[in-house]
Amino acid sequence: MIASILLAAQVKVAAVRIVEIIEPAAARVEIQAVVSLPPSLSPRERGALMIIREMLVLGTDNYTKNRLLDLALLNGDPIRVSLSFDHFRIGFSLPANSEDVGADMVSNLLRNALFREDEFASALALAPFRSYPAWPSALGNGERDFRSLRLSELRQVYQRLFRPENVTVAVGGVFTSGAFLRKFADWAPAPARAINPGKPQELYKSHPVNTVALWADLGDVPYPQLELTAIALGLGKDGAAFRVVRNQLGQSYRQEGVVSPGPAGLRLGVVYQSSAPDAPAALAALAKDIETWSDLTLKRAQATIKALDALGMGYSSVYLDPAGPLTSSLPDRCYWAAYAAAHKLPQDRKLVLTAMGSVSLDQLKSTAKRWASEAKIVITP
Amino acid sequence: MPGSAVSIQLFAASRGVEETTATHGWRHLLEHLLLMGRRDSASIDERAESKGIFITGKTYRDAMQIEITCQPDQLEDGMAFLDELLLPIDITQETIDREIRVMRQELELEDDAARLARGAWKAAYGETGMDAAGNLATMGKANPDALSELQAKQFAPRNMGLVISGPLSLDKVTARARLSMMKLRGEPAAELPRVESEVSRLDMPDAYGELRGVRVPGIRERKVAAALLAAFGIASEMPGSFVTYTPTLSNAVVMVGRTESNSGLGFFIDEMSDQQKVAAFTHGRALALRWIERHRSSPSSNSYWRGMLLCQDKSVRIETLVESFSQITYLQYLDALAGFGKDRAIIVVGDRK
Repeated sequence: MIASILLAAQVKVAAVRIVEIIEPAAARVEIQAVVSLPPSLSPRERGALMIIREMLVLGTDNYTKNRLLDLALLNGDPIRVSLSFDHFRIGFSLPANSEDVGADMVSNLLRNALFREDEFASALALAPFRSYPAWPSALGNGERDFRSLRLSELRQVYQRLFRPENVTVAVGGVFTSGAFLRKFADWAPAPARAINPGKPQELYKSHPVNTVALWADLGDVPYPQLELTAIALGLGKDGAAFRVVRNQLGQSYRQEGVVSPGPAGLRLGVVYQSSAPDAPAALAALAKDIETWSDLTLKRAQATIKALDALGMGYSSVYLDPAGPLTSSLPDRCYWAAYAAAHKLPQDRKLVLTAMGSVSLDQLKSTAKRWASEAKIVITP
Repeated sequence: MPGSAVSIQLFAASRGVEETTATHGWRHLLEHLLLMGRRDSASIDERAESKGIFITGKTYRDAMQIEITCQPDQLEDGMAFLDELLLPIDITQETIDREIRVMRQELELEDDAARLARGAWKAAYGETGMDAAGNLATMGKANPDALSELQAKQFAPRNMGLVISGPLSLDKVTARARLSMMKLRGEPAAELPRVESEVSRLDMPDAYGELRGVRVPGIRERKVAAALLAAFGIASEMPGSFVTYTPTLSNAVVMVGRTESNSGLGFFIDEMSDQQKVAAFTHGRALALRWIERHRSSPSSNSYWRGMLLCQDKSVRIETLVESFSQITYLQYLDALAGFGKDRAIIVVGDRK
């Protein structure tokens, strides 16, 4: 394996945070932008963000839809846009040393999306009929309302939230430092007001099963301890959720321990899908199982995450994006770095991994016990 | 191949044990039971995961896959776990019944894309295109003896493919693999060919969305690459679309779908302008090449592709498809694209209210 040189630098300019991760072996440049969202977003603002997610790649002042697609596909992947509880993500990659084009593209997407009237009407008409899979819905886009949304309101939300102080851009791979700092130096948008808050809207349900989430807000727990507890609770076939919820109770086939952004910061959860859930029984059985955790539990959790990292298999318990867990690919490492910079977490996953190796059994069990005592049952039908 | 992971993948072709209405889902059930390990030893998952080794399994129409992922210095551990999984199953009726309870949950997780794909296979090949997930009522009729017999037939040497990818010595790996494979015995039963059906449209009351598919022959034929290129091209122009194809030497289906009620997929395909067709050709080729490159770049997906083909016929390589993607002409692409049109395609429409 070719050794990579990892240089991380964080520079703050004009309030946009830029994280640079130089990896000469990458042969491309990855750009990941995270727009931090306030916890107080109204259902209507979330509804508008859902439409923005659909429309962002349809064109900007300087880039047509086809031009955006052509450029992104030079490396084979379309632009990825997603919405989480506490952030909006835009990610794409370009050939190595394309930092000027990359900076211009991401700047355009963040500042100058077009939102044409006809495309808005079409996106709005389709929105209620889109498929909203249960798992990512349970992990969290929050309540939303896009009924009778007006284009002017959508633009207002874009202007109010897509602002330099909310934006962190991580750039990784092969590029010359500084292009992104220069690109955002003059960004000073006018303030925009909040829109009418709206009311939560019922959305189409794509699964005939229930998704059960047992969430506890544990953002105050040191991050490595939190992630390791998620692994002990629900990663792998010897994780507590697999042994208890699946094998012992027969309630599920898919069950995972998860760290994910929630309305009050990072939360720890066990999430599972079931056509016949008995969530109180599952929670009680998991709490009982935690009491039996031993050094073997700690050893398995630490061996699991260490091996997943060494094998390049990703970090299956970390769902920054509700659509899927964090992988160890360069795009996702940049995504993590951008999110971590915005939330004061360790930006380098290797540091998180090292710290997880130092978590004690007492710390693991106390976090898990706190989770079991504070967990709230949320069922997404 | 370079990297730090080793993927050991065993494939047992379904030749001779294809799904029938009497055994629908038995192979899937067998896969679940195999991975539970034997009653006379401690949990195989606990032992494996404590070493940072992961064991998973999956059942496809054409093969059952068992994957063991470990680090290069754990090859012997990984192979020892594989040997353990190849032992005759050791189960009771109670174990079967308990596992079917879990499989009920698995089957109910089937998403709209999978439901539409199931419909496309049914339309394309009738009962010979039945899904591998199975039917709970049929699985409920399985017993330990019948499953042991199934295991013996499916795991006959001629049905097996073993692929090991990772930064390893070829000679050392080959010798170790031979040691495991030499223990297998038996002959597969006669193959049940996949026969084309006359159905071209299917409405599915339990699904949501829309899918267009084309029947394709085995992967050796260039028609497969052309259909995939066209499908990726369509998907590149229709955000939210998916493309599905499983590598096989048998008759199959290349599908493009969208899981939204008024998806507009069919309308878009039938009304594509010349400009859109040109754009879809360029984007489709880029996406198809990227798709195959991804499959070749990690030990796990590389082993999957090679193993799926190897257990069916050792002479077929994934590289055939890569070459074809680069060689498809615009006219060949247009013909493949027309295959997704309303007059030639298999059309599946989800009709759930």
